[in-house]
Amino acid sequence: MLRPGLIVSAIVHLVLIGWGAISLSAFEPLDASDIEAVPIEFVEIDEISTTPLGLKDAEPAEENAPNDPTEVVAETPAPAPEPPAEEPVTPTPPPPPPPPSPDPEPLPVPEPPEPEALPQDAEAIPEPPPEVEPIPEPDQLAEQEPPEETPETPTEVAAVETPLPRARPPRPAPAPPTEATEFSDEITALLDKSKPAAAPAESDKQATIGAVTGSPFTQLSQNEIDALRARLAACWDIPPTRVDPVELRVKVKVFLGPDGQLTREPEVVEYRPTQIGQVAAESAIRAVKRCAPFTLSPEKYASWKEIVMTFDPRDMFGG
Amino acid sequence: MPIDGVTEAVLISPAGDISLISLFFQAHIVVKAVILGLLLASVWSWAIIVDKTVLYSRTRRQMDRFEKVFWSGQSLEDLYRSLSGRTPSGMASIFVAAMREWKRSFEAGARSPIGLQTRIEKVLDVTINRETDKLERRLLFLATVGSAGPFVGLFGTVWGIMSSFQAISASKNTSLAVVAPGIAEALLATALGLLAAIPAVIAYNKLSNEAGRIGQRLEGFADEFSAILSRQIDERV
Repeated sequence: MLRPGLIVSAIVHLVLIGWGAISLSAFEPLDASDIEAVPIEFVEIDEISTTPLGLKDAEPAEENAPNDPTEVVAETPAPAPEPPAEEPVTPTPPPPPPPPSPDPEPLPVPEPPEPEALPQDAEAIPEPPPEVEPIPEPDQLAEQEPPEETPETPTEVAAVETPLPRARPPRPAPAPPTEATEFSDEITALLDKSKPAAAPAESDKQATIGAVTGSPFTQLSQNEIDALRARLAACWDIPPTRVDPVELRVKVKVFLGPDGQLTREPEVVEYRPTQIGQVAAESAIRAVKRCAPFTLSPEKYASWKEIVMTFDPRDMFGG
Repeated sequence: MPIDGVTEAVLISPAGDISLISLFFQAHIVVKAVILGLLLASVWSWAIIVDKTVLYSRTRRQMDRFEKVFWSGQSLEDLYRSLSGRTPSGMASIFVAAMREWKRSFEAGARSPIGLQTRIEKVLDVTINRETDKLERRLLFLATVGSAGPFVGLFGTVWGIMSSFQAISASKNTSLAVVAPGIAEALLATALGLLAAIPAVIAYNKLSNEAGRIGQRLEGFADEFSAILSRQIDERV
């Protein structure tokens, strides 16, 4: 007696299953929209976090090349980045420690302590406060030198003799004739390799991987600062005394050109007004001169155009 | 070339074909049994629903018609004669059963009114019970499907997910393409369980309510008819 109901029910079920098999057979695949890929790059520790300016699809610039010449520089734990600006570093043999000169030259009277902090602006090209021109070209620099000089600094204008390149080339100026010519070959090869990644518009800057809206490297990173410090430590011959190392603490203001050469005589900003302090100051200036040219990334030239280097035995030698 | 064919086959038919039919055929045997059982339960319960709905509406129509005829003042003998030829149902069957007992008793020459009244009441009760039983038969199946269907489906789901987890651990691959078909096939069992149970519960509530109402109406008619017969007995005796 249940037959008609059973037949009706079976027919309805078969129809439903057939309909489901046909219409639900192909579930539309979920439309997973592509999320914009964010390139990730390990950058060196910096005091402020800056995303490097660059192209999104460019190869990561080889910032940590294995044969980075800065390895020669010192015992920095991390290799200094930015090889494009690296000049071959001449491993200077440590010269004999200078004897404490009995007749200290008239030291440049320290200026009123300028703000030694590096420019902290988050602008694209922060500039050191006193300077106006981001890239001093040689003639401009020569013109600007005299008004810049404070009257009480008896420094001669030694800047013009540095061969300044015209337009911030990624390649450093021809290396000073040292024995490191093979080094410069390697660096040239490195630079050539990284050149195709350069942004077409900014041919003088090497495009690295990064966000389009990122800011360029504007400040020396901690690694670079460490490398610089280690290099200065290698160049510095501490006066052999047994006094308190605080006595030897010297701050030297260094003026650098875009190629890393000294543009002016370094100025002693701060030193202990004792005899050993004067000796330390002179030795610090000698160390700076011996270490020049400095190899720092040209993109951040604005931040190291004027740089205050602190010579402190405790910092430099862990004492 | 065979290598090409193999890789092509692997690439073209990954385990991600999730149409309903392929889901069923990929499923584990237990899940298959659960799905089949639930499908059968659904078919059967819908058959019951259709049948009962038709039966109740027909019964109600018959009762209406019979009551109209019964209260129309027609002679009960004529009514009995017209109805006894065919197999009656519902109210008519109650009437026919009571009338038959009445006529038999009188044909046998029974003269005890109390015994006759008792017999007629018994016959009425029995007939009411038979009719109500006919009305309510198989309704319990709906109740069973309604309460047990989700659990059966859940069992299939649990089993399917269990086996798909075993497949994951065997293939050492946790990508969604590996996990998804097994879970989808497992969830199909729960879906079918709910699909079978929800109409069954709704229909059970509705149909049992209707059966109760019909049964009450039958009892009411039986009481009335028994009162009429009792009056007749008192007049005859």
